[in-house]
Amino acid sequence: MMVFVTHLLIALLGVVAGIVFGAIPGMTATMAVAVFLPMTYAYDLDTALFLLLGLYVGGISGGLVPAILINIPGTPSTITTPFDGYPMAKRGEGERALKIGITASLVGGLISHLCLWLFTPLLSSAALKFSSVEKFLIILFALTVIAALSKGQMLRGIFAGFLGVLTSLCGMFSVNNAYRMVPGFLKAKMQDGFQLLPVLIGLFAIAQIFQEAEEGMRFKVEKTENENKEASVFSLKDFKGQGVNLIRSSLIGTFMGILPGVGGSAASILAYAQAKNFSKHPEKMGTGVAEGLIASESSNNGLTGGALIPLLSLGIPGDSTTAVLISAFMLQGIQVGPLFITQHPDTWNTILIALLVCNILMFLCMFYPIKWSSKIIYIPRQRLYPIIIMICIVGAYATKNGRIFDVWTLLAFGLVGYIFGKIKIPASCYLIGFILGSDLENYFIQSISASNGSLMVFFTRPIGWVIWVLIFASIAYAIMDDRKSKKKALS
Amino acid sequence: MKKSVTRAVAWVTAVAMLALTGCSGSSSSGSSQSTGETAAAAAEGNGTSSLKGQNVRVVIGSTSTSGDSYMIADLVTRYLSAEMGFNGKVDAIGNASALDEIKNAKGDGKTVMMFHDMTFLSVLFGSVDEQYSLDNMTIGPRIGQNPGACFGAAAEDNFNSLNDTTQYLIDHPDETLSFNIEAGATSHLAFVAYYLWVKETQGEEVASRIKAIVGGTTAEKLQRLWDRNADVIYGDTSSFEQYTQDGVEDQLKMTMFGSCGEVDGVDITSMAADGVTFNGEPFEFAKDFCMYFPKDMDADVLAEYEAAMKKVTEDPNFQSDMAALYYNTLSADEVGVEASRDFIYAKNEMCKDLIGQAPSLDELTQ
Repeated sequence: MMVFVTHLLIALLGVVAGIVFGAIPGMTATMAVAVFLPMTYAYDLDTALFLLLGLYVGGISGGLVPAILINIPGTPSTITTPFDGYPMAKRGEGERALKIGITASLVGGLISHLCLWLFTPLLSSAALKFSSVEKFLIILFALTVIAALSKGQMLRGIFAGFLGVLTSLCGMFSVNNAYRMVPGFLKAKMQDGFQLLPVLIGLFAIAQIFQEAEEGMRFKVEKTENENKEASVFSLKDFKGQGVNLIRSSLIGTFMGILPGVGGSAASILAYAQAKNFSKHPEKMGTGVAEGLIASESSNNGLTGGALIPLLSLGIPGDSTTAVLISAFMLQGIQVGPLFITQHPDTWNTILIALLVCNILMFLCMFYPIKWSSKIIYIPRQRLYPIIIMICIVGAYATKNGRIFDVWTLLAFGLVGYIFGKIKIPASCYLIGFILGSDLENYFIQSISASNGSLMVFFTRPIGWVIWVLIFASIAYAIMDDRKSKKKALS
Repeated sequence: MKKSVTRAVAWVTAVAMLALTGCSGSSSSGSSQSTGETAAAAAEGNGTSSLKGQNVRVVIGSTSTSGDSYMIADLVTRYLSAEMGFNGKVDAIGNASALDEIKNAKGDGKTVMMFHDMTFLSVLFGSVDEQYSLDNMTIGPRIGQNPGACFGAAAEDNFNSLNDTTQYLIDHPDETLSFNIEAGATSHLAFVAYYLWVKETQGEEVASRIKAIVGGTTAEKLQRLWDRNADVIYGDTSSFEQYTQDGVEDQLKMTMFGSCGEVDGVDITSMAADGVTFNGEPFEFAKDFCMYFPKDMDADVLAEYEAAMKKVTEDPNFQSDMAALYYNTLSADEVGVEASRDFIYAKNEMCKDLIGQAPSLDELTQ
């Protein structure tokens, strides 16, 4: 009993610390796990797992708070959360939006937990069927969300997406160690190109602050007809008609977690795109509807259980956070891999219990105290923004363990985002291109090098055909939607 | 309100204290005494040096916190922290950034780079500028050795040594073998050593059918092997060993061979034991980890590091922690600054010679 209470308290510490890390722009679940890893040297593996999984679940979930309240995705996996969360907050429905997001996160986490518990061997076999060809096509499929997001200005959106992909390719090309698009004096700083977090925070947070500084920071919570008590209060009715969206998005998140190297950002992008494609009112997505928020948040928490599947059954991490988790196992002399579950059934059970406990704790720690944090929206901007700038700079500086270059990157991309706003280039499309660009290239090269340069490799595998159909369907739908909205605007 | 705030503070304090005191001894994991436990105990020491009470930043040339670079640097840092009384922290910032840090840091010992041979290999392969060469830094004590880097192949191919891969090429004149390596890394060097040896012993035609596939983390290399998109991959015995065991499904099962040195407790033939030679000498290339400091390093502080590292390397707890991770501990003589400098420069020269004789990557990947 004492052991369980200890584990519970440790998990609580992990979840709370993880939420704090996730909520600070620039800090991520991966950083939280890396920072707390040395603390586990003094623990046995079970206790360490409760702490680290708490940090993982909390870190993934905490990102929704700044995404909804101040339009800054706290972590890359919450990139689509502000699309609908922030408009809701602006309408004075911040608390409701947060509670919808937290509940969707819980459901996503529990569905992925169920998949981990019941289908690990089956899903790891499925993951093995996805070679670099299928992964390339999935990334391509995720990129089609650019077309869906840039309705009414598709050409600009596609241009921004390509520009994002191009920017992601700056740095050293790992195949021949040659630098691309990097001036000589920046070679040492840009071996790995621009880091995602400073770019993300710069484009969203700093650009927004520049913009509002220019306009005079006269932000007020919009008082609309929705600003009646009933509309702004969370209830389970918000999930009415969203069952399919919730399950589909959670499963997309879980599935993307199963595929090593595809990444959490791609999960929320793909889930958001599918929610829009299947929505009865796609025109409302992005204006502050629960549908988009549910898709984004259930998918990124769906990732948690999913990413543990290849780690525990194949020995390869599903995302960057689970890559750090490997160290915790190594320090205890345990190899995670194909024989892990049969050789260490007790540890396997501990992981299942810890993940369940951490998801429930995450919900309790976020859902009830949220009514206070949601009041952030009412703090005058001139007081709030200096604090946000400071937090962003600290977050950027910490990205690669203390490099001032990342702070300059943050400010430079803040300026880029500000200019994008002036010339009406959608920053979200640019960012999606940037996030997915390096994976797109990596899997393209892997596929091509394995086929001696033949492009036919992308058309010869049955799973690939299915993804091609989805890609073309998604593009066709986006084009039709774009035309419809242009016609509507003309009439 | 006041009551609830007090309650909240008490609650958070209790949780934090519980965590920080590491109160988990009664748990049921049952694993043997961990590397972490002994190192944590070591970190409780009250060492002394001119850096006592100061923060020391240890940078490594890798961005991974689960690879051998982080593991060794973290272990050594904790023991050195105890011995010298400083607060050391390892930052995994990557090769170019770490070299840049050392180039620009003050020589006061508060910034240290702990990394393996890629420190000078990256200059020799041209991945980083000449300004980061060994001549522009101070070589400190060596800290340990990882002999476990090796080649691996799918079990169904029945490759159990580099002689088997060579024999396959001889027996199948129309076939090629692809080796997945990393450009400018130790895998690149081991690969070209094998290539040159085949060229020397079997001729140009056989060697020309050894192809390189470049890039990827260990996880990505494993996936290439499982997809059968690479015939042979390069990694660490500690990563590969589990896939060699009985019970692993056929698609994942692999063999490992051609390690860079003898690995205690692992059944594997080394490159030297396979007969691979370079310039007539058996080729051995265990990854040697060393401390690197700025060029204008304070000689007194360097001497303190040297003395502390000599004590650490003779500590039985440190030795057992290193052995648990399959890494070799060095003798006190070997970690001396003078001996370390001679060793690293000699290795640098050998690598320069090897790279000078090797074909370019463009040639090897065609």
